[in-house]
Amino acid sequence: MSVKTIVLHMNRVEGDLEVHVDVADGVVVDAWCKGTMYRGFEKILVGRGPLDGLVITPRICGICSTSHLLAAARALDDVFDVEPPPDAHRVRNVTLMTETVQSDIRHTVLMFAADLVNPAHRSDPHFEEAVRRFEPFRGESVVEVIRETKKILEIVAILGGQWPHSSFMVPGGIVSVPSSADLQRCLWLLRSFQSWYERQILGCSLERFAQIESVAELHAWLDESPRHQNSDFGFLLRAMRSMRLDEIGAGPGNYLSVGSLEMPNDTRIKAVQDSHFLEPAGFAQGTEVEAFEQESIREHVAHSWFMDYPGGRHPFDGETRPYATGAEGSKYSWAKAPRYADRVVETGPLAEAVMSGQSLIRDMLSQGPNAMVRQIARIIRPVRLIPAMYAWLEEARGDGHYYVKPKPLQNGRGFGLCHAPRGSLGHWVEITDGAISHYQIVTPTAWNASPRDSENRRGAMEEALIGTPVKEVDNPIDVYHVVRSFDPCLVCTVHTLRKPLNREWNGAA
Amino acid sequence: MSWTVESKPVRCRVLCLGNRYVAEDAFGPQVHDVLQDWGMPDGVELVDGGIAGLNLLHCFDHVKQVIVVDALKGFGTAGKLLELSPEQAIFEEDQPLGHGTGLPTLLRLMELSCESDIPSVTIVGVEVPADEQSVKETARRVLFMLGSDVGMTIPPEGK
Repeated sequence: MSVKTIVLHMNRVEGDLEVHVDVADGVVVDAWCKGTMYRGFEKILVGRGPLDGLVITPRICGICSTSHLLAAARALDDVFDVEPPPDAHRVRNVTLMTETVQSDIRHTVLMFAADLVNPAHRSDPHFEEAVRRFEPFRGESVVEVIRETKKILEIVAILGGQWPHSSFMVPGGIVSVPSSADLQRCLWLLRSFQSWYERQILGCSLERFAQIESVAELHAWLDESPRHQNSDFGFLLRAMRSMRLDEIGAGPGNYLSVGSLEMPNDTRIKAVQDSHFLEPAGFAQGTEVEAFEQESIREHVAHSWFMDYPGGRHPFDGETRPYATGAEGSKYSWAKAPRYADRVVETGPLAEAVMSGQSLIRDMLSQGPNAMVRQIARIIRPVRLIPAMYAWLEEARGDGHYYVKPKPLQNGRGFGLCHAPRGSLGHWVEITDGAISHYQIVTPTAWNASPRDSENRRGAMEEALIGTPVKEVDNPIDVYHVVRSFDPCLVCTVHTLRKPLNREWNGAA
Repeated sequence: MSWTVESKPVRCRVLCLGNRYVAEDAFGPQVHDVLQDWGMPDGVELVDGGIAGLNLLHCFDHVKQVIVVDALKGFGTAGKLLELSPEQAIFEEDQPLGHGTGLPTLLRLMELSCESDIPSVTIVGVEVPADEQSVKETARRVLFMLGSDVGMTIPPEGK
């Protein structure tokens, strides 16, 4: 058996991710996910004031800015032992949910669906329609999504008082108090987004879609109306099945959700099984859910370019000491390898749907996980989030109570957890003598695109790639589908305007 | 930046791009900070766009002029100050429509998504690495460009 190694510089992911796969007899037999850039935000934060993480960490990522802000604020809530007022939770939640629903649609239509127009699918009966809808810069759905998802982020600007990279969350609540008019404007923006999402993406109302509880009911829904079949979701469903995305990308089958969106007091929204979160925390093997304990998180560095330590360490005890030489071959990524209870886990919308008890997704998983169900969980997540966004915007009081002043503190430590659009995110912070003495960040893509751990177990995405068919080594389309279904994002980094080497430049304008 | 809650009419935006925590990419934010210290004329909104990518599309709406400040690479010798038109800046990116979306893609999408007349756009930047003098020189160039439009007095040399 001959083995060929393919190096994929993944586009539409981030410049920082390389995927190497070994291919034998037309399938992937091994895989390595390589984070190629050292971040070092944890080192930047050490020695700074306790609140500096609220300004610096939102700049870790241009897409998940609000997620990092919320995780940093929750960590400081914990350090200062202060509980924000219910309306502060409502506003924090709504801004995070805005970022999430926008990202879900943009990723699906602009990034994931772009692979459906890959020439490898030219013979598929859905190809021409995929091009009409999803061709980059030209597709009808692409243009619609760019226009519509631009508007809803205005909610973050209104509630946060600043955009981009807002820092309006602080320990004890938020500092940008919305007026009644602000809240009304947000509701109008949400209605506008919902109307478009129902018409363009789903082809039906949120209420109708939420009634679908099984694969059989999904098929019946698809056949029910041309509007369902011809919506972007309806088309994606047909195209993904035709292109066999339901046969690739299984992954480890373990799912993790750290819990997100604190339930405020006196809300009309009901949490699953009286959870403190709208999106419950949990660990699942398949669809069997167990309680989540943050103490069970460990980060391994055996195959990461950091100073070695045996086994894994909890983020409170973890180190970020870059070490790039002396172990070439065994170390291959700037990402650490997080593990939960000594297990390789996947995080993201699919994991969250499992913990939320979403019947349709759990029924789909009964046939085994795959790239298609992972993406479906993402594109239908707004069905679950939008009703709660309405409730919390309507329940919040204009010019109300949004902040509790914490007591001064010199020493302490805490953690903040939430769901970024790509999955579970955690910040762990320790304050000593009034300054940050320790900071650790575990991102969703660190979970999903982790390298091997100290037991030499592959990360979730590496595992999902095993067995993926490769018909063309120069264009391994199924590998692209699998990687894309995790929506990896290894930190937004350098955006210097670079002139391509093959482009002539004739001097200044 | 205040977006949508701005009460005064905005005729021009100065949009400074880059990651202030990555040395090679910090040029735009550094120019932003200098301009913020110097102050902007009425009708001009200064934006620290950071690394927000596609989420900056709204910055091109409802204004007549946008000046984009960004670090440049591959356009000339280090420290050279350049003005580019959108046509000169729009290259085929390796990563169209992705998390790593850069200025060329932002400019292409701006034309598709602008909710008003498409503004006049100029890219001002310096070939990196850039020193402090280049940062101030670029800030002065931006003010010069604004001065011709809104009657702004340019700060003297040395400020």
